[in-house]
Parts: sequence; structure tokens; C-alpha cells
Amino acid sequence: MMQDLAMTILDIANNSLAVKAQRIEIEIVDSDAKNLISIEIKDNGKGMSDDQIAQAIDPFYTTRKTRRIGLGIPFFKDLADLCEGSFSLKSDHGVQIYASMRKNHWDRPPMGDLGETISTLIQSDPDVHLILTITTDAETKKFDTEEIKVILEDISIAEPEILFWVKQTVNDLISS
Amino acid sequence: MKSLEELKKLRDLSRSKIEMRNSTDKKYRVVVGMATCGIAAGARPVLNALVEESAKGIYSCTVTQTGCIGMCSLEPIVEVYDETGAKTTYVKVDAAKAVEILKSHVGEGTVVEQYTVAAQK
Repeated sequence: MMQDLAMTILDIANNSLAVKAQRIEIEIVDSDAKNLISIEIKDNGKGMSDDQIAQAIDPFYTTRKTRRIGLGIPFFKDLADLCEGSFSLKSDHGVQIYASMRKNHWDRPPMGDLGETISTLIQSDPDVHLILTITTDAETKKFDTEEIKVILEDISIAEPEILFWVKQTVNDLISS
Repeated sequence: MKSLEELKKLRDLSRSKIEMRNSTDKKYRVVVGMATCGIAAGARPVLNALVEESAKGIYSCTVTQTGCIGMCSLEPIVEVYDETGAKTTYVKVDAAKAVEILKSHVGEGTVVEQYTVAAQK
């Protein structure tokens, strides 16, 4: 199990990068009114077959050939089970994976450093179009790499100064 | 996003630094394992420490991520490849050790023996 939600998000979104998705949407709902935290990650990668979906929650299933376990998706499902939420995994032109948790549940991990998760994903693949939305009871906040790339002109979003700005901006977005 | 003005300034700063950064061939390749095992063990702060430190521009290296390196119990793992392709594997790295490895190995060409996989008991 991961120590915080940001690590889990990084791990799941890395699956999308591994299948060469060009667009990844990360949608977080953080609601006190509904006593709910949910995380949905959607990509436009090559998707999964029905067979793969059925087997993906089994920790002893993996597509890689190097060894016979894969814990990313089982950890994500575990999070929902442990915190009395729900889990779903679908594939319709890409993959949509969702887990929710009771916000005040004992076992719900803290959010963690979401800014660092986003900057790490961008560092891994600067070309990916990443959209993060965080919906609280009051408002929906959005972070979209395309908007930043327009401002950056010829400068890569993966330049260290820019990555550091991304990390801080995302973390400011959550705390503000 | 309140800090877009700041972003424009950073863009111009990056532009001025890029030429210096790209002027020399990169002698080293620094790779961080970022699979489930690496992330759970704390690889993300290690990567970010390496990116931040290497941004200071005095290191001849690129920093990249990879999947599972195969020794999950020794994560976070950082591999340093030199120009000949020879690899040094550092294990159980944290952010502070990562900066030390960068300074010593990439900066001065001296392997930090005590953090290598060979020094593990």
C-alpha cells in the first residue's frame, strides 16, 4: 500500500504513459459535504481487453514478462475496499479507472505531494497532455499542461525551473 | 492560476540557461526506478531532488525515469551510466543521498562506494 494518494495517482498514471497515452485526465473530488474523496484517471492509450480488465485486479496478473506480479491496480482497488468506497475499471477508447473513499475513514491516506506527482509525470513524458481537476464543495480547480505550453513557446515544460513551478502551482491549487 | 507572470519570467530564465546546459555533451545518464515498488519506497522525492540539483547547470548528465529494475526490496534505486555505458547501481537512496551521488559521481567522477549495491550486506 502506498503512503499517500499522490503516490497512488503517480503509479496508476504511469500505466497510461507506459501504453503511450497522449492525454491523461486526473479528476479528484474532495468533498466534506459528501464525506468523499474520489480519484478517476482516464487516458486515450491503447485500452484493455475484457480479459485484461477481469484479471487486472489480481496481484498475480501482469502484462510484463520479467516477473509474475503487478501490484499497481490491486493497490488502487484495495484503497477503495479499505476505506468503504467503490472501484471501477473500464476500457472504452482508452482506460478509465476510478476509486472512491470515505473521506473521514481511519484508513484513508493523506493526499500527499500532488504537485510532485504531476511534475514527475511531466518529466517522464513532456509531450503528454495532462489535465488535473480538483472539485471541492466550493469550486472546481483545473491545471492543464496545454495552457502552460502556450505560454512557454519554444521552452520545454520539462526544463527544471518549469517543473519546479508546476509542482508549486499544483500544490498551491490544492491548498488555496 | 495566479502565477502565470512568474511562469513567463521562468521561461525567459530557462531560455538563457538552455544554451549553457546544451553546450556540452552529456557524460552521464542518471536513471531512477519509478515503478510501483520504487514509488512506494520513496523514489519520487529522489527524482525531484536530482532534477532540482542538476538544474543548477554544473552537471554533465541527463536525468530520466524507468520502470522496475528488479530488486524491489532495495528501492529506491538510482543507476548512473557513464559514457562507455558502464553502470553503477545505487540502492536504498533518499533525496540527500541522491544529491551526494550527483555531486560526487557526476560532478567529480568519484563513485560513492558505500551506497552501491555491491556494498549491501
